[in-house]
Amino acid sequence: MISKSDNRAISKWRVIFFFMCLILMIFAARPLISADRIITRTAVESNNVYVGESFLMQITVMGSTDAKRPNLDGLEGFDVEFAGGSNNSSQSVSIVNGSFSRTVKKEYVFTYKLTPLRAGVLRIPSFTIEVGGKNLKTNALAINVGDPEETEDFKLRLRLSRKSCYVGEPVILSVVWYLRQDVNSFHVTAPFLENPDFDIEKPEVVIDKRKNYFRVPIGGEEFIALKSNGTLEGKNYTTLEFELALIPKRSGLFAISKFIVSCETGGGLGGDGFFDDFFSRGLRSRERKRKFVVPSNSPTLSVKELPEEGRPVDFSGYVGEYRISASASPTEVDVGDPITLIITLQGSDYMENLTLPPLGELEEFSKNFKIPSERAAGVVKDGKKIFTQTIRAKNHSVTRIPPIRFVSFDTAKERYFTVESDPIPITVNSTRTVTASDAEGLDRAPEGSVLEHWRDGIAYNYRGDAVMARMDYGFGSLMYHRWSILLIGFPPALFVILLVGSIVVRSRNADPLARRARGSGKILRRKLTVLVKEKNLKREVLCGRILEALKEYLGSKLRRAGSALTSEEIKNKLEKRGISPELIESLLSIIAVCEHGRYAGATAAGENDSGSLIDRTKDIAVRLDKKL
Amino acid sequence: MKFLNGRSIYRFNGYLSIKPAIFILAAAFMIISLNLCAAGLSTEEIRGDLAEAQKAFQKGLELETSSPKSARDYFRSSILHYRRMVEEGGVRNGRIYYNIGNAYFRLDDLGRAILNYKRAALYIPNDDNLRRNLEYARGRRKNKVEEKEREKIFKTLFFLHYDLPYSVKFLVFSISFALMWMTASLYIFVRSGRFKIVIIIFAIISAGFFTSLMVERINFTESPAGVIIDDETVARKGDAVTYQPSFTDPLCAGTEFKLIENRGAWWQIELVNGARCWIKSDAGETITE
Repeated sequence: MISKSDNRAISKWRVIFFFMCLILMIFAARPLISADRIITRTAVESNNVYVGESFLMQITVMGSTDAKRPNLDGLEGFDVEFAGGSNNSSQSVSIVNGSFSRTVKKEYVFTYKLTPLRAGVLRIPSFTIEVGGKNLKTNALAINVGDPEETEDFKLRLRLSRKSCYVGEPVILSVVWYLRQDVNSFHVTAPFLENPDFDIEKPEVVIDKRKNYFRVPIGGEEFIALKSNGTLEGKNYTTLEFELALIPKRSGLFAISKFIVSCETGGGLGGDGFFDDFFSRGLRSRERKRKFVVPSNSPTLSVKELPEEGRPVDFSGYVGEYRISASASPTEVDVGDPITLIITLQGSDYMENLTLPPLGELEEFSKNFKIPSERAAGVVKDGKKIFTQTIRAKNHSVTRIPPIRFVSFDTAKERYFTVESDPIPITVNSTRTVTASDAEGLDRAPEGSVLEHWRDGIAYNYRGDAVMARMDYGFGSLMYHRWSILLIGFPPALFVILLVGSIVVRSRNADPLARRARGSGKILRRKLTVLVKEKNLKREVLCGRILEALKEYLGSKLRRAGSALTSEEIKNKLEKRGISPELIESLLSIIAVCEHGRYAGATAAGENDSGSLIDRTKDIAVRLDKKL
Repeated sequence: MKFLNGRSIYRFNGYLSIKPAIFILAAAFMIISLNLCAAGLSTEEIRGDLAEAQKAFQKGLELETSSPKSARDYFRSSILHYRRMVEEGGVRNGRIYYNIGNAYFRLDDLGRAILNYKRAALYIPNDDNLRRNLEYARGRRKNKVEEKEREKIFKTLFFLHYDLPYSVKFLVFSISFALMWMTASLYIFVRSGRFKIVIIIFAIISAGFFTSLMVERINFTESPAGVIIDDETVARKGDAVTYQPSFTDPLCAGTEFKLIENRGAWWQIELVNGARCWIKSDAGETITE
């Protein structure tokens, strides 16, 4: 029977089991839920800005990273600069109260830098963005754009090098920014640079190392600005000045639209300011950050049409005083062989857009030379524009490369003038050069094409168990390889063993007497032991052998011939070695007994017990061995 | 263990006749095994992933012309299987990174392709296919960053340091080191002037290669190499978006760099031309995982 309380226990465990299953199901389903939701969101750094004040706009795609950059062509009233895309995906695993959860966040962010070009409420419309093959819409936004105002501390002035010019004649526009405060960062907007009626060139800036220069980015271009001091309306300012060359394409009266500079001031003593090396660091105050947006003046330029009177038919619209020269190589060729013609034009500071005079339209060129339809682009170098063109003589009667004409309008003299290069004499041979392969009787070798590697494309994938191997790299993994250990560890160890061994052997061989001395005690004891075992020895024989062994021992120890040692000599030597007189006396007494026994034989007086004599000798030998 | 008015629950023969401790352990095991079984894939699972990866890649190749979108899905699937082998199976070798690089290349993800080729080069630096694919991928980058002159001169002067793979340098070092000591061992017995010269030569070689190995190791750990993986990222002069861009154009996927400083969300990097700039840390990856 199951009681009520037991039933409650079962129910409780059922509930626990149910919730655990539920948790597992939620856990398993979570990646599927998060993977399906894709959301786009447009956000801006600020909704209230001035004309010319840049701000960031981010289009975020949440739930996928497979998004293509949206097309922002419908965005009117803004200068748009793409500031990069970034993958903000992340994955995390967390354990809360024993429950595991995995969070997968997929996100891709497109960042743009927008600069309003006019005042009013400007609308950022909804854009279409392709995400994983689907088209999604972003949210629209409205931006309040105010008109910028000049302040006492910041002024921007545009000055033209002249008020009127001819079409195609360069006019220098100086942009001067007057400042009386430190700035952290700034941004210059110049919609005029997009004006289709003008070509904009950057005049070459000769850098004076004693002066300070800064790079000023404007709409993807970068201008070099000079920092100096100046006066405006009676007040002193620090100035930042750079120049542009305006080359008008058509006549008329043009107002140079306002340049706008937005800058940020203040922000404490930090060293991150843009002008940290521009203004003194010590003057930076702890004032709060402020933003200024300053407009420039808008000067006008009158552009005159070039006069019709006296205009040559081959005038291409270039203004200025030019010089032209030409060179050719080689000057002796066969019909149809290429001749490299180099044409050099110089005279104007702005020749980027200058094109090669159309050689094909010159009569003598078109009659005598093959000229490629593609015209060389030309390279500007050292104030010259150099065109390289390949031409081929059509027949052997051609004797020169004709002069090349270039027509321009000189604004100083207000007239057209033509310059010509010098003609280049050339020799054109009609016959073909005879080579060995043309000689009769020689077989032509079969010509095959050389097999070359096709460089495009990537190689195949690897397969098999090698792809599953677990490998290591780097010094550590190589170092602990068994072959490495063997190569690096064994030879030094071998060297050390051999070196120690050789030192030992050599030291032994260097002093054989010492070696003999070290082993002499052992030899003596061995000889005495043999004597103990040999029974029934005659006394004279026994004494003689003890004496012989003892003298041999002393001879080894004292580095002398043992047989030649006398008692007196032994005494002196041992005393010098610091042996006690009592021990010397004992030794000498044994020697005396042995000598007596040896020569007097059985009739000799003294110790009759041979065992006692041997023991005494042994005892003395042991005591001597410790001292010597 | 006492539960519910002092009765032991395992007395019952009903629905719940097991010890609660065992039940909890079993449930915990289920959860942990569901979540963490991937932490150590079995050989069979790795083999299965490899087969799936190869199959998906092959399928992608077959459909690349007729159905490019499906082909891309297959290439992505192939990458997922390979990545699982690496991340959850602990399989790391040159060939798997090479295959991953190839799959990313097919997806036009040049940044990750170059990144994985470079990872493969850590293990199989002498592989011809790898070298060619890496060079080809590098050639397709939008950014052309010229190597700095000083680096070119160093590469000419110390060509052995730059041109030889790490393993070859280690082999040369090991052999010259071993020969130096073995000749020194011989010199103990045969005091010949020739042996002395041979010892000095081997000592110079092994010292040179050891220095090269150490320099490479320090560079590898102090300034790990990396690759830009975002399509385009604006490199800045400081570690915030308010800093001015460092270059007129954004850095494109596949641009290689050395990581100089890591400030969490921002990295200071050095390009091969020596220019230093800051990028968001999620715009690039280092080749060491």
